[in-house]
Amino acid sequence: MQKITVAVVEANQEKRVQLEQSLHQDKEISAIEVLTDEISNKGNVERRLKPRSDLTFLDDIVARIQRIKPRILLLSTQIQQLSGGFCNLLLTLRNQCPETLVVLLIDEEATEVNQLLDALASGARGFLDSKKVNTPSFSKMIKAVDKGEAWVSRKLHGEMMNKILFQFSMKMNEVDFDSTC
Amino acid sequence: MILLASSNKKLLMRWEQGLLGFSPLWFSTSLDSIKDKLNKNKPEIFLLDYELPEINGKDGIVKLLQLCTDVKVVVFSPQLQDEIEWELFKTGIRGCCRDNIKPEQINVAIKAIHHGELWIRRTLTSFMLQELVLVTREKNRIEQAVNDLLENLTRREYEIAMLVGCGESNKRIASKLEITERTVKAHLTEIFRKLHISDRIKLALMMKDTISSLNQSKTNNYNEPLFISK
Repeated sequence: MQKITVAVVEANQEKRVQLEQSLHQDKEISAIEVLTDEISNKGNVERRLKPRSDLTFLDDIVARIQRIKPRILLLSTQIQQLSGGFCNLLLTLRNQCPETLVVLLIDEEATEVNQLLDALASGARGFLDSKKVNTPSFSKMIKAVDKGEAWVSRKLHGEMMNKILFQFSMKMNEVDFDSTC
Repeated sequence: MILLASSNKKLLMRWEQGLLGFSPLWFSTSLDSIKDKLNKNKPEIFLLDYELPEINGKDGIVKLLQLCTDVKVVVFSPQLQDEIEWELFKTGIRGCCRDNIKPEQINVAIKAIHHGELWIRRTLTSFMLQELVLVTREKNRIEQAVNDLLENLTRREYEIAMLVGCGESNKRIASKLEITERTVKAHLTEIFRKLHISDRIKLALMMKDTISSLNQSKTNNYNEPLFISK
């Protein structure tokens, strides 16, 4: 059986190690392989977090993802270097690494619905509360996302559908309007 | 109020069992009766048997939704192809369940839908993600096209266009900007020409979207990271 490859982007080393350990320890996910950017890991942590002078932080992340080509990317939203927000990174990853599916590690309590919807519209495939990475749903999430499913709450599904239907209705209004003029 | 519509008595009994604790429940066994109850009673939730004669699939559901736009429709059907089921969701239904679903599960589904959630199979969420990306891309494309056109306006013309978008009359615009109504009209003629539109209503609609986008931009502080921890 082909393994599901997973990579983690997390500036906090402690959290990243904890996350990778959870991935390795989970018996349910023996079919998952954690990828590490070995080339970049040769330097020290500080060096790794600093973008190269000729690359922005965003370009640096994209270059690494293009190199290791994970199926699923767990991307922490707590990275301070991405001061322009995550939508740009998500859009770039969607265009340049279309085979990689991005799941955002968020602080659920501090994140608003509109931010989640913007992230989904920019290419995120789901969200995981960074405080709940040790729960059994972790492996379930990876398998579901690998199959192309979205990993979001039922409540957020409702919000997504509202947004889709709202855009449909706007489009219908435009058509009606044009036909009456 | 919950409306239950099916000509299958066993199905209606199972739904009723699952809806223990919900009231009042109304029953319909024909299309005419459904239309009548949707019109008069305006139910909150509507459980619909997809195989009810005369429903006529997706098109029939669209017509029923037009009778009562706020109703949350839950369709009960045999196994449908993913594409067909997704098309049903695009009509505005809030849930789709197999017709052999257990009463206890019906209860859970209806409670979730009542709280604004969507009762959808996980396999369909890929369609939803794809659609969300598409509609957002289309929305951004239109906004960009409108912005490109608006760039052709002078500062004064833009000001007047924004006021039209807020629903102001020529008289009020003239008074606000301390110019004559005749000048407002002259500016509007030029605005229509530059934006390739024929009348004030189109301008108002165009500007309304721009105003709401601007308001949204103000709400989201783009200089801050998208996700901010407490």
